[in-house]
Amino acid sequence: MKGQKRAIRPAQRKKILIGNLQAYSFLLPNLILFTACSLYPVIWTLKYVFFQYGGYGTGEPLFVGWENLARVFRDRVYWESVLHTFTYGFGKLILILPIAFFLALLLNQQKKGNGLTQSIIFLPTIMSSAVMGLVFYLLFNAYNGEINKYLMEAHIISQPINWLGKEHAMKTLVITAVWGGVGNYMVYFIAGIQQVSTDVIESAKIDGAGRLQSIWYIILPMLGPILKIILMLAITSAFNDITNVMVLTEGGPNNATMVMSLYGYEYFFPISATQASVPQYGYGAAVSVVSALIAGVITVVYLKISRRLDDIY
Amino acid sequence: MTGGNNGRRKEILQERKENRMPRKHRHISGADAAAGIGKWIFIGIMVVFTLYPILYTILGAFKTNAELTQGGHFLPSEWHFENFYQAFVEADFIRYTGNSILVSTAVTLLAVVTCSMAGFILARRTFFGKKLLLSLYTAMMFVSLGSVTLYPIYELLQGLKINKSLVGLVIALTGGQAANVFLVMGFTRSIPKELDEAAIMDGCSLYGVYRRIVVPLSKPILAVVALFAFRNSWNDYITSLIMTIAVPRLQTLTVAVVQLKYSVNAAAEWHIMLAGASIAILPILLVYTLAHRQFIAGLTAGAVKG
Amino acid sequence: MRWKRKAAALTAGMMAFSMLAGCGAEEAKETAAVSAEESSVNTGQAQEENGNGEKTVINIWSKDRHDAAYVQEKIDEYNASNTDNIEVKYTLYTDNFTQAVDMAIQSDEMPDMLTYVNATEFNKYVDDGWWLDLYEYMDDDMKEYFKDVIIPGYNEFDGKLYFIPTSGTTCRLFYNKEIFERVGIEHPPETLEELVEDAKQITSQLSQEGIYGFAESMKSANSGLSRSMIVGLQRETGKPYGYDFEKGEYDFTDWADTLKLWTELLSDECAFPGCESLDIDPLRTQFAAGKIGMYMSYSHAEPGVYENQFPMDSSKWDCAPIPTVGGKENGKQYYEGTGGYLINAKSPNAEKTFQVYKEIFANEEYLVGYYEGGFGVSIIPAVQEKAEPGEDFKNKEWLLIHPEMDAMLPKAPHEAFVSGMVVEGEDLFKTCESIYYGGADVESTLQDLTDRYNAAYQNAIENGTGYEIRIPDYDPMNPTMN
Repeated sequence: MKGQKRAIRPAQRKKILIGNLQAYSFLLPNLILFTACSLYPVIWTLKYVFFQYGGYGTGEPLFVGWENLARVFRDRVYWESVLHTFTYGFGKLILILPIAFFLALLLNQQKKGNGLTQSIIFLPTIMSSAVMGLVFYLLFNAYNGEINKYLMEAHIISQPINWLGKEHAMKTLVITAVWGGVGNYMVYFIAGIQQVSTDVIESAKIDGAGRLQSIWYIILPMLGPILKIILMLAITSAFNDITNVMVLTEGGPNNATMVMSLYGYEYFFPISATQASVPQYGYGAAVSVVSALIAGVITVVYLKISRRLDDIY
Repeated sequence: MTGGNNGRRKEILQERKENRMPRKHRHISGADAAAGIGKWIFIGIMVVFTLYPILYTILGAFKTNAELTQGGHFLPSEWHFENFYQAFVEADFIRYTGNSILVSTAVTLLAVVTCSMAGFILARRTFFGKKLLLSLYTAMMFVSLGSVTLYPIYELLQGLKINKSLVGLVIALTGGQAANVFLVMGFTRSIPKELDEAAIMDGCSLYGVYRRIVVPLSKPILAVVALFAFRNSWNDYITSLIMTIAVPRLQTLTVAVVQLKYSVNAAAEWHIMLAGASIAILPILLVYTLAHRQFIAGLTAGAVKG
Repeated sequence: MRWKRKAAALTAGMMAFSMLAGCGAEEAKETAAVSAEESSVNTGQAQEENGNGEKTVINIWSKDRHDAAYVQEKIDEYNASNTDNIEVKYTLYTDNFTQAVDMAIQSDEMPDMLTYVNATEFNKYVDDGWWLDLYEYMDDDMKEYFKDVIIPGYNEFDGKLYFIPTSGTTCRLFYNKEIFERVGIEHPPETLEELVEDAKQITSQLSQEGIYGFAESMKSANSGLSRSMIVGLQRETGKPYGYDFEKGEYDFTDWADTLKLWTELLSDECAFPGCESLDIDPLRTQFAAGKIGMYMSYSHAEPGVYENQFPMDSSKWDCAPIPTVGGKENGKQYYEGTGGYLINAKSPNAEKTFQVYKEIFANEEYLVGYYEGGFGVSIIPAVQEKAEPGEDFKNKEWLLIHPEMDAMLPKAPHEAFVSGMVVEGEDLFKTCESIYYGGADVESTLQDLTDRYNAAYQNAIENGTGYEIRIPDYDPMNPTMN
């Protein structure tokens, strides 16, 4: 289009106009949704970062300038929640990646039974994390949960473990996250492994490479590109996991499982509504913006490191 | 991940093999057998780990409350189908199931239609503002403000007076679909442009090209978008909770199930809770049994492209 | 010419849409189905009103589960018998009641009538005229009947009456008599120190059987502490929620002793495992199952709960005042009216709603049955006279309101204008949690809490989002509302 600028004649202009209109007629349905559900909320949030507002019935929004953002930086609990997000993300990562990788390795061949096993391992990814969070609450609760019952029957423990208590709640959360996510990553790995063509592996075998050697020297290096994508997905998903935490622990006890996405959410939709606790939209917006920045910076740094910035889409 | 790439990688591999691979290394068969057993133990543990919570839910839905809370066997001692009756009738799950089905189907269709149209035009045409739009879409994929954006969306829907109906929920759940638009865009690019041109020569309009050529050829990717849109809307909790909190009759299954935890007798009625949970997971299980291959293949497509 | 082209382009656009609609015929159907469903749901009310001989639907929202069965039964009766073609719909909300009300008000989905929850929620909307002045429709008989529970500054403001409490509630220590007998505890603890000792004793002797000394629903610090520690502190310090009404400032520093004992009380030595993640109802099931020695909760709800929800033999449990540190009594503890309902003044059916309210809820038979059923202790003299309260209320004296201990308390600033007073950092409940579960230093944390609350209060006054609350000559043993 740029090059033609000089030579546009009326007829051409009309053609371009019609072309544009046609194009937008295709784009419009998605564009409306995109504007309403993606763009507008971001602009709204950026605006309210500068206001103190408690919602309907609490008076007009009060302009407070940078105060909300300054408050974020003073907020100890928030930075703890950032730390918890990293603990959670890291814990999930170091468990889920090796498990998923080995599953992929063992299940990637087109053998009888492998398909079924894959389908079973993948099953949790299609389940609602909210519903399963509820089920996990029943399974893990300290006083009559089945997990403790089985562990005690097997004489692994003598006293019930307080799975949702302050010491173990984060571990429990990570376990449920592994449960829900391992299938996903297994499939990514399988996709990666299957791109390493079988004859390469075969020829390695003929060459006499042992099992571990072929993993270490052939498969892993060739998984490089997909591994980068997998890590990327794992990092971004760790920032966004919230449903699970909300249903299972609500961030407790004593904020032990408070992650940064839930922390911002709570200022918008106070969870414990039995008594007076009101929304603080302005502060919640500030918290979310800072969280988004943290997530953004980490993503970008990661992308830089993996030098795939030019391959984003 | 193109063919060319693969070729290059093979070369690298060849080099590596020559440089580092120790040759003539032999394993004794005992170690092999041990590895084989280890393999099956590992897979077995993972299968049990995966299936246990699901079986607990579904089997628990048939147990009595006492069996669940005071400890019983893995299988119900008697199969209490009336738990489902109670959930459906007394806890009003018929309505919530209806809501869930309506919402998920509508979201699926809306997502597929909007993404395929937008993805098609972005792949095939240049137009005014395209670069800006593409960068906005990309930016939004990276800006994750999370669930707080539900509040402005809710306010907006309220301003449009569609917050009291399922339409509002469908819109909020469908959302911008930026990632899926890119997915479809990428796929459309892989369809040879010559096909379009030939059709236009034959007198087809742009709409004709879209409908007759591109849509049929992009069915695989549209199926992926559909499956995942269905899964996400069926399983969604937070968006549905916020959008229906003031209008309980619009609640979807997931919201209703989690609310059971706080309902009048829930603390004493685990069997009803599990029956509710089963009602929420069984339909998606059914979809999965029919389409698990597509799910898995779709995930790969999404990952490799995305 | 140009316009024609434009029109052509537009038509093309429209065609594209219609074609797409053709393509996605199913989608169109689906959308239609959604909107049909929506409109049928949405206008359900209206249709019933207009179609079937003017049936009026009155929506009532409640947050109480302990009396839900009783209320529902009364409503069913009313629906079956009333001759005005009124249908009452009763919806139960529990954990997110206030959130639901907030969003409902915003989106014009406010029910016709709802339970009075707390001053905060009430204050938020009273100025915008959401609540009906009941005097508008009350006749003189009704005014006379409820005159004892009309309290200016509580439910009557500027000559307008907004809700009528019919029963009262406060908080008590509930204990399992059998467990006490088994470990040889003769009487319920009178001091907090004693409570800790008793809890330890029970846990050390019976934890092998899964029986523990003490529990509290600490999943939400707010919900757990509001029914327990905070109430004891009102009596102990004479400063409700740490607010000194005479001086007009917050002071939490004298909570230190209590918090230290509570830290012990919630440790493994005393507490039921998993208190941190416990909601009140699971706790009650465990109490009913005889696994918990003691816990604190609201006095109005428990009898109904153990009668209907989680059956437990009435002779097995009793209740006592919440113990304070060293048995100190420097003030009264709050008692709150329950059974009050707010009517939506903006509802087109406000008058009919009032009629429903009067016929179902402000009805003597209902109130007598409510008291007798054990759902709440009546505070209406006429009802108290007529009712034959259940065994629980006859035998368990502390279930009743005791004027020498319980009184209505004025509202501290953070309750009176909750959204106007933005406290930086964690609220008082979460701060307490950081002490008993997080091991934070007691003294410095409470000092910090005091500073933060006072700063927020001063800020609110400066911003005009709050106002000064001071009651000169405030006597904690004889509290006045303002």
